[in-house]
Amino acid sequence: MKTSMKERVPGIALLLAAMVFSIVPLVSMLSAALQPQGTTPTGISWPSHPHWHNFVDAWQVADITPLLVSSLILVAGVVPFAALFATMAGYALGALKIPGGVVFFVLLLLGLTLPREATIVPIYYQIRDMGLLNTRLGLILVLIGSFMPFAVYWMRAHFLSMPKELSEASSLDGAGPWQSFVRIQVPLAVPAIASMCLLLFLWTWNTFLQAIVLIDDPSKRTMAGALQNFVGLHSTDVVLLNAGSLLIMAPTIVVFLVFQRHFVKALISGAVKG
Amino acid sequence: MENTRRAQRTWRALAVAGTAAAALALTSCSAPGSGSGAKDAAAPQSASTDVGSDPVTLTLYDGAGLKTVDDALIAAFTKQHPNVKIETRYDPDNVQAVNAPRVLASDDPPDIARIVALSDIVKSGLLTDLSPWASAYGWSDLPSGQLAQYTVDSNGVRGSGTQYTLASGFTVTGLYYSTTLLEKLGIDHAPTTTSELEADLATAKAHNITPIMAGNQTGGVMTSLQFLMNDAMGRDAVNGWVFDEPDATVANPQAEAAATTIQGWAKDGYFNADTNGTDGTGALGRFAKGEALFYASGNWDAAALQKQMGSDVGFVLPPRSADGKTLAMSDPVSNFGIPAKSEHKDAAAAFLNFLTTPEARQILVDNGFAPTGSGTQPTTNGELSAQVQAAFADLVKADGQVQYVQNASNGASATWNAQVQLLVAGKTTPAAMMKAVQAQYVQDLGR
Amino acid sequence: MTTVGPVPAAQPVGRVAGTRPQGASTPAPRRRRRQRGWVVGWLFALPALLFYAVFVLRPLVSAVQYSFYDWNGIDLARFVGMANYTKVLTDPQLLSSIWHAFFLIIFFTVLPVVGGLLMAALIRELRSKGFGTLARTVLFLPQIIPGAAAAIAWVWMYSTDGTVNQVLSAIGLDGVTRAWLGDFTWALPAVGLIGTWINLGFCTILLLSGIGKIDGTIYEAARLDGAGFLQTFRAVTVPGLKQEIGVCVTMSVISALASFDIVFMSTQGGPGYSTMVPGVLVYQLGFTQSQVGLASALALLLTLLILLVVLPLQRAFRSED
Repeated sequence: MKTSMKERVPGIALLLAAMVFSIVPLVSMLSAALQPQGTTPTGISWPSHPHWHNFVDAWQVADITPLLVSSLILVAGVVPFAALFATMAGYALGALKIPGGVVFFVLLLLGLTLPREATIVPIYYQIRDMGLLNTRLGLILVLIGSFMPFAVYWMRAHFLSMPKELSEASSLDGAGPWQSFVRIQVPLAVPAIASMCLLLFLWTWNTFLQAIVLIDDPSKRTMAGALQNFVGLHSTDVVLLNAGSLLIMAPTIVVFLVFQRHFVKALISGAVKG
Repeated sequence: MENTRRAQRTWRALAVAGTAAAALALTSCSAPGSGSGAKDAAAPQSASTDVGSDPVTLTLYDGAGLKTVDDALIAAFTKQHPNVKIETRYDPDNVQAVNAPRVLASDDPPDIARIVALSDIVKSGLLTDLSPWASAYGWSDLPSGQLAQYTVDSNGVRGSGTQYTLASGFTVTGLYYSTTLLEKLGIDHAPTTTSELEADLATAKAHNITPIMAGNQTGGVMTSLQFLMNDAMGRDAVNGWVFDEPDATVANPQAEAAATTIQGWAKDGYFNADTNGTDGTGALGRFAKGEALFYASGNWDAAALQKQMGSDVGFVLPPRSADGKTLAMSDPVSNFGIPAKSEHKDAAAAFLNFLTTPEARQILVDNGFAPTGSGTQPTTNGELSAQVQAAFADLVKADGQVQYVQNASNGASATWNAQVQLLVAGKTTPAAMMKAVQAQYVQDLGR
Repeated sequence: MTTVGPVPAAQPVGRVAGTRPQGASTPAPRRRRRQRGWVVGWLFALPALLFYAVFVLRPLVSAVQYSFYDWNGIDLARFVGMANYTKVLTDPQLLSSIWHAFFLIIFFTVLPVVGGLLMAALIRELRSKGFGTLARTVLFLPQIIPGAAAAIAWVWMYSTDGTVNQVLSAIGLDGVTRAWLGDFTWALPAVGLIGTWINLGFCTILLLSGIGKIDGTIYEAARLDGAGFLQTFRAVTVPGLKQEIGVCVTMSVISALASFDIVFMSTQGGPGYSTMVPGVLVYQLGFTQSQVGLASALALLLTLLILLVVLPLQRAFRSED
């Protein structure tokens, strides 16, 4: 697009300002995290001798290793099952068009607007009665349930967009619904499933409310949930606090940067370039 | 057309969904809470002081700030009883206090737990009556001021009756002062009376030194406020309020006068200007760096301050009015009880009893706290620590241990903190503040 | 003709479960029922339905039940009828929390959507692809870190020694520096700005994807007509993005009304009650003050409010083609 120089400069300046706004809080944390321990840093100031070792100390103090393991266990327990169930249900609603499915669908739509706070108190007592308080299993079950509205909606939209002939062709071949699902539909749905899994991963990893309510032991929580405990214990030392918080954020940032193309593709598929 | 049909279908679907939800509701229609049934487990059982030799694993549940001292206690105890293993579970201190009832009621309760809302938890039948072990171990010989903190009577009022807990040690509150700044301002001794304190505050302010460092984001000004409330209301009135005595109130002229003084101090700039935006640990750090003359807090900060400030810091009990008594907030470090559902009560009781032994008392003192029980004073490892221990001894001698008003009920802490933030910002009046706190208290107790 | 629901491409990546325009999809004419297919089809839907029913619907029904009781979570509950609802609707503190949530919409919705529109349009105009990608990445970063972590970053920004005050002093505004989160007037807007920070990238990316779907020839035509950036923005970009704007508004309004992580980790509702929002109150009432019934009533009213706000929004932004 040809826009006059006069109009482009303020535009780029605005964009740069927004980028600075987005990045400054993280830079500010990094700057504080690199100061000598026990000092009180002020704002952003690049230390003459950055103390990278602070991250090693914070790793120990914040006990990152078990947290990382814990979060991975939670992701492994949530994402595959949520994806499988959602794909199956999306197939039933979107491709098979099961009779009465619209009831299920309307219930799911309700779930899309439901804030987590609406059910968190009863969920606590329900999980307690199931004897699953303080277990990762309890949190996993709750998360799978709470991801269903979005995930089923997403997969249903995918199956609706698939040509009808596809399932009809496969049923002519004499393949049962399950074979048709596994051999034909799922492989075709891989891109949709993959984008969904990326989002489910992110949400599981960042789960906060459910994690602090259902699990007392910080080492069994998600990384985000463990932050609450970490802050409670170490807010005296601004340096370590920032270093530890950055470490706790790092995995999602890394995953985002690595899978960025997929994230963006998931979001912008169909966007016309330029 | 299409729209109408769709709307109809949607409504039908909603109706079916509604019916399904109603059916679901029917499956859970008894009143909540009927199934907890913790009460039966609270009956006294046979007690033994013998831990035996079979391997036992206990779980201890405490506030995270107490990890260091708990670890030391556990190490010493398990050395004496190698067959006992104690696992630990920690929550941030304030979270632990409010989580405890639910954790105790869960199917996987700890065997030893710090109890803050003692009378509520006893009322719910979640704690073991310790009488059998008390007589077996002779706990009735403990100082009466301490026993009062372990007991609840049949009406749910604390202070006397059946013993449910035993403390690892005691806190004591007072004023930390920077000796360097005191000297610089030409003040020759730490204040012992309120008027001396106010003079010192004014002197500091006049020299552009922050008089009191307080982290009021986490309710830090409450410490100063309660110093004045204790002095104005007296020990029994404050303790009675915290122990849920009938008709107890803080909506009275004495408490309001204390709040008026604090509001005046805030207005005069006697607290750090950003106190509402500073948290407790932040305030501690800034006082340690010499940013303020005073820091009102308790012995839990002694170890950190001694480490950071060396000999530049001192501790005195809260100042009192000319005719006032020696009073200070002082309560159990961890008021340990044995959950009703614990399966290893004898072993847990043995741990409680260990807390009264010289070895455990020394550990508490080493960690900056005051020891449980009585006997020869353990040795101290520094000047500040010695000052704190001496202050605690004076306090016990004067029988001046007062409970923290934030522990009065479940909602008390959040209400006090919010209200004291409003108070220092001049957004509420002392009378309105006390009224709001009292209203929350009454509501919490279900009166 | 209605289109089949916006393809997953336009799906929200927000940390709040998304809502989508619900009327956008019309089932194709039903196929003849086949008995066998009926059973098998429902078997496919069963696991999802089961999880949803047990871990979302059942707790929701329990919440309704709790809301009629006075219950401390442990002892036997006492039926109190509508008392909890009356309390929520009359208690000034509880009401003010709801008002704060609505105030946050300015920061969680208005600023990010307006800003996102601008950013998306600007990125589209960029000549350098690389810079566009960089801008997208940087703007989106806040969206993917946990809300709790975002709060910690900003607590440090806003502290007395933080970057905000550092910048203000540097430009000669020493007079206005303060502990922002401890200030009765500024704490709520300050918390709101954290929401702006998080939602801006999300809106930008989503709107950018919408711009990609606008027919390029329209832009071309506008250019040939000699329209400048602002005219094109007003006449082509904004009207063409109605549906995406609808998604942004819906999602971010929900994130404002149901905010929890940010407030919980930054101010806990203080100073005083100046940043208290319903989400944090539900947590405090339900888990620290043992007022399970009152917490449930507040949570349900919050849900109802969200529905009342979101449903008309859905209608307003539905594409009419």
